[in-house]
Formats: sequence, C-alpha cells, structure tokens
Amino acid sequence: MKSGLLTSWLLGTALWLAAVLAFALYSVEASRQRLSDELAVAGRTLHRLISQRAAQHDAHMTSLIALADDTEPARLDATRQVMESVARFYPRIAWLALVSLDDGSAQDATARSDDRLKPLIEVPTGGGQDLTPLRDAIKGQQRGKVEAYAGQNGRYLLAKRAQAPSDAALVLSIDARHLLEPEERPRWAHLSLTLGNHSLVDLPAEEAGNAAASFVAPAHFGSTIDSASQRISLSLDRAMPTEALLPMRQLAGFAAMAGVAVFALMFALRQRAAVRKSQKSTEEAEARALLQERQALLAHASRVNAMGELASGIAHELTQPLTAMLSRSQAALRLAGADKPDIELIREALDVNVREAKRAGEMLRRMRDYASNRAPEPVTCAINAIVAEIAALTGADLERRGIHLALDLTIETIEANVDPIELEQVLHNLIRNAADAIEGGPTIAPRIEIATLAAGDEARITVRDNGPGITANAFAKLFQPFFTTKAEGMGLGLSLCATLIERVDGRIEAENAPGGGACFTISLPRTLKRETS
Amino acid sequence: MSKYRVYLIDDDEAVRAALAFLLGTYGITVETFGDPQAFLAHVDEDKPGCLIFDLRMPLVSGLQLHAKLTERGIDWPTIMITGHGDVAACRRAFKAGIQDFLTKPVDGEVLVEALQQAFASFDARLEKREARQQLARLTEREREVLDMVALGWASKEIAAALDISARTIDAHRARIAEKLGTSSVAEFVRLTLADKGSA
Repeated sequence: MKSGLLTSWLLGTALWLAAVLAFALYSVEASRQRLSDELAVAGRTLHRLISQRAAQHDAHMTSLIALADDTEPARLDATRQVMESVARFYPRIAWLALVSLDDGSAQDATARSDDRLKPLIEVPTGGGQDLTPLRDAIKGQQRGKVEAYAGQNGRYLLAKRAQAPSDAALVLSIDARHLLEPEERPRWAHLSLTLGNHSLVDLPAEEAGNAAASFVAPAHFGSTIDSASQRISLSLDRAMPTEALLPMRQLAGFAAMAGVAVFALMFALRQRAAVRKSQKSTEEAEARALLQERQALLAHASRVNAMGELASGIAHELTQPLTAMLSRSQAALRLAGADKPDIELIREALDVNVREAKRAGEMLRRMRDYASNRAPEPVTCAINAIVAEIAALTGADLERRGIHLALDLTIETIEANVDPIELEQVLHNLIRNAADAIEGGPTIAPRIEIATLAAGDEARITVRDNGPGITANAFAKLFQPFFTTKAEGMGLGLSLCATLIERVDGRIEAENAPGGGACFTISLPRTLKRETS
Repeated sequence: MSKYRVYLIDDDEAVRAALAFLLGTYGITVETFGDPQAFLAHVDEDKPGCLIFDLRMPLVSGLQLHAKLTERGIDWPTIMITGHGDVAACRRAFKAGIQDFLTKPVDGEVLVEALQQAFASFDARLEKREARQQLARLTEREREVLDMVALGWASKEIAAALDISARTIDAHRARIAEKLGTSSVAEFVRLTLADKGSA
C-alpha cells in the first residue's frame, strides 16, 4: 500500500516534469516563431516606407530639376522657394542645392571665383557639404538619371543633371536617420541601413534584453529598397532573449496548473481505483450475503425438519404442565364450591397454575425460537444457557428413546459471540447423530453427555456419547457435504455444523473418546467480560 | 371416602402434586412417587391400593412396572395415564390387565370415576378372596351340602339326593354355619356366588 503510494507519486512527478518540459519547448518554438514573424512584418513595413520615401525623393528631384533647367534669376528664385517648402515639409531632406557644373564660361562670377563647386542655390545655406570632390562624378552622370553618393554624418546625396543644354545639377542631401520616424522603428531590433559599403544608420536595439544569454540564434531580416537610384540595404536583427522565448511567469503558471492537474489526475485515478476496489468488495459482500442467505435457508429447513422429530417429545413436555394445570384448576373449582371455601388454598393452587402456564409458555417459546426463520445474528451469549435450551428441547425425545442426557456445565461464566439458535442447531445435530449412533448399536445404559468448559480464551462444548464411535475411514469425510453413514441421511448435518461454527470464527473437531463412543468438540472465541468498568 | 389408598407414580413433580391435590378434594388419600424404583422399594403387599402411573417414565416404563408388580403377586387395579395415547400402547396395556387407560391432560371427574370403578373391582376381588378363604375351611361333603342349600334345596331333598339321613344333613349345616360364622341362607348364596364369579 505504502510503496504503491510512492510509485504513484513518482509517476505523477515524472508526468508533471514531462508536461512542463513540453510546454517550455512549445513555448520557445512558438515565441521564436512569433518574434521572427514580428520581425518580418516590421521589416516589410520599413521596406515599404523607405521605398515610398525614396520614390518621393526621385519625384522631388524630377520636379525641381525641371524648374532649374533655366538659370534665369526669376526661375532661380522660384526654384529656391520650392526647395524651401520641400525642406520644410521633409525634414529628412536635409539640404537641397543647385549647382552648375560648367567650369569654363561661368555666368555667375562668384561661382567661378575659385575652383570650388559652389551651389547656385542651397537650402539651407551652408547646410550641406562641399560637392567639389563629386564634380567629376556628377558630370559623368547620364542626364535625367539620379545617382546616389555617400554623404557625411549618416547622410547620402542624390544628384541629377538637368536636361541639355543646361549644365545645372540638383543635389539632395538625405538624412538617412530621418528616413524613418522614431515611432516607426521597432525598438527591439537592431536596425542598419547601408548604401553600398557606406553605413548610413546603425541603431542597436533598445529593448533587446540579455541577448548573450540566449540559446537561440537571432532572427534576421534583410532587403534592398525598391528604388533604382537609392540601393539602400535594410537590415533588421532581433535577438532572442531567453526571457522573451520562455516567459517565466507563464512557465510558472503552467507548472502550477500542470501540478494541480497532475494532482487532480492522480487523485481521480486513485479515487477510481478506490471506487473499483469498493465495487469489487461490494460485489463480494453481496455474494457472501447471498451464500449466507442460502445457508440460513438450509439451516432453517433443517431445523423445521428436526422439529418434526422432536414433536412427540415436545408434546409430552407441554402435556405435563397442562395436566397439572387442569387437575389443579378442577380441584380449585371444587374447593370454591364448598360451603366454606378455603381461599388460601385456592390462591395457592392458582399461583402454581400460573407457574405451570409459564413453564408451558417457555417450552412454546423455545420451539418458536428454534423453528423461526429470522436472519442469524451473532450476539454475546452465555454458552451454558444455550446448552440448557437444547437439552430442554431434546430431553423428552431422548428420554422416550431411552437415552440419558447428562449435562456437565462449568460454573464459570463463558460467553461467545454466536447466534443462539444456530448454536442450538449445531448441538441438536450432534445430539441427534449421537442418539442415532447409539440406537444403531448394542449400547448398554445409553448416555449422551454435554459438557462446557473454559479453555483459556476459548469456550468449549463437548458432546460425547457411549455409542459405537466413528469408524476410521469416516473421519476424513466427516464434515464434507453429502457424506453420511445413515440410510436416510442427507449428509448435510455436520457440514452445516462446520459452516455455522466457522462463520463465527469457531471450529469443530471429532474424535473417538477414550472410553468408547464419539466425542465432538466445539471451540468458540470467548467473549471476555471487561475486568474493570 | 375411600378405604383404599391410591399410589401415584409420575416423573413430573408438578403433575404428581396437582393430581394429589385434586384427588384430595374428593377425600382420596394419595401417596406419590417420582419414579418406579422408589415405588417398588416402598410397596407393601399388606397395604393394597389403586395404582395410577404414567406409561412413559425414564428407565422403567409403566408397563415394565406393572409386570414387576405382577411378578410379586401384586395385582391391584391400575389406571394408566399417558401423554400420547396411541392405540398400540393402549392395547398392550389392556392385555397386561390394566384397568383403565386415560390420556393427559386427564379430566378430574373421569379420573375419579375410573378410580371408583377400580375401587369397586377391588371390593369384588377382596370379597371373592374372603369367600374362598371361608369356603376352603369346609369339607368336601360340607361344600356339597352348602351348594345345594344355596340352590334353595330343603334338608330332606338334600338327604334324598345324597342318600344320607336328614339328621346328618342338619349336622353338616350346623358345622357349616359354625365355620362360615352365619346361618343365613342369603349369606350362603352370596358366598357361593362370589366364589364362582369371575370378578
């Protein structure tokens, strides 16, 4: 029982651990998937936004260069105004400049005052960088096509030449850091934008957590912006921190729930086992009850049968008190009819009659009890009283058959837990067998002796006769059903005796007495009275 | 009321006491015994009485008791009472010479009536015995003469029949009267009848 409990608890713990581990694995995989998906979604969003903005740059360049193909002062002024409004609306366009690439016949003397490439217009003034080093590169550009160049401080430049014959070129300096609004950028990812080999933006994740402690490789998203002019590479990296993959509170919650569930499961299983066990024991109890009921039926039938054999003896027992009562009543009537009735004598006669009526009633009670069909119920009984009852029931019959019934009852009070009627029946069977055995042989001074004694914690009853005794080959089968030595016997008497006695934890044994004749001993667990009260 | 005793033998003390009590109210004296042996040890041929006993008693049955008494020459009237009067037992009892056979519980009046009949038969029996004893004192000739007297013959007729003198007949009659203690012809008749009677 105890090892069973331990086994089931070990099993429960193993089950719980397995469940927690499975949950952790599932949780890691699901979180990884979720974080990767988030990264991909964010990456695609950024890709789309940046692509749109790059396209806007192209559009601005197209419209501004169209304005600037003429370097008339009025046009330049208009161009400047447009540029200023563009700069105002698009903070990421950090600087706009219109330059003339013509170095020979400069219309603007100031532009050619030195060899530096100075903008015709710049918004804001001095907000850009020196374009001189790029002059040849821009000059080499195909007209109408936008080219990108690495800038300084996370900027890049876009340049476009005006249509021929103008030698003007438009340059935009884009602050890559403002390609994305701060709120558009995912805080949990490392964002980098590069143009060729030039790093534009490199923002580490702000909520990365302890990436070093992670056991899962970081997720990566990389793409190139859809723009012919601005081949910017977008790269997002997301660390997979353990605490994100395996949320401890969830895990603890699950562990607790799994613990409760496992406990409930174990409890339910034990409960079910207990129910099954109790069902089984209920079925067994029912079967036992049925068997007992049948035995009770058999016992009752056998008692009723035996009662028939006793009837003549019992009639005698009833006749005696009736005779005494009738005679005494008639005598009392005669006394009452006298001139001077002797009231005292009449009263005495009636007193005795009452006693006799009770004696007859007692005999009837005995008979009724013996033949009753009530369910057997063991109670604490005085053994001597039971022996006296069966002696009273069978005495007259034995007397008629010329057999002397002797009682040798111990003066000690011996009690046992038995059904009194069943014990009477057992004794009756033994007495009847003894009487039959005596009548079957040439016994001189036939005699049956019933003795009671206390033997330690046992109460013993012996039924002994001086008949021919038990034959050697009968001993083995004596208590088996349907074994009989009588011509008209059923062979159920002793088997029933054994059943009834064993049911109250007693035993019955047979032997041949030293002086001849059979001796049956019934031993019953003695019910000891409490010594102190 | 009765000049006879009644001996009651029954193993049941209550039955003994009740029957003795009942018979006592009829003025009948009853001596009771719990078992046949006690009675056999006590019985005195000189104290005759009626017997009442149970057919069924432990160790010695009623019929066995009756047989033992008969062996000892005691043939007092006997009434058998029994709790289970089967025909066979009844028949055996009557064959053994039992006066009456009653079943328990026995009715008082029936028992008393049976007892009175028993007493009457006892009287008759004693009378017969007495008559025999008296008649036994007579010689053969005297008995011959007595029988003829009892038949109502005169002395002359007797003398003629016996071919002896009438004087001798008278002498016989005187001796008969002396031996029987009476000269009454009626008494002579009673005695001879008692002797011949079956009772």
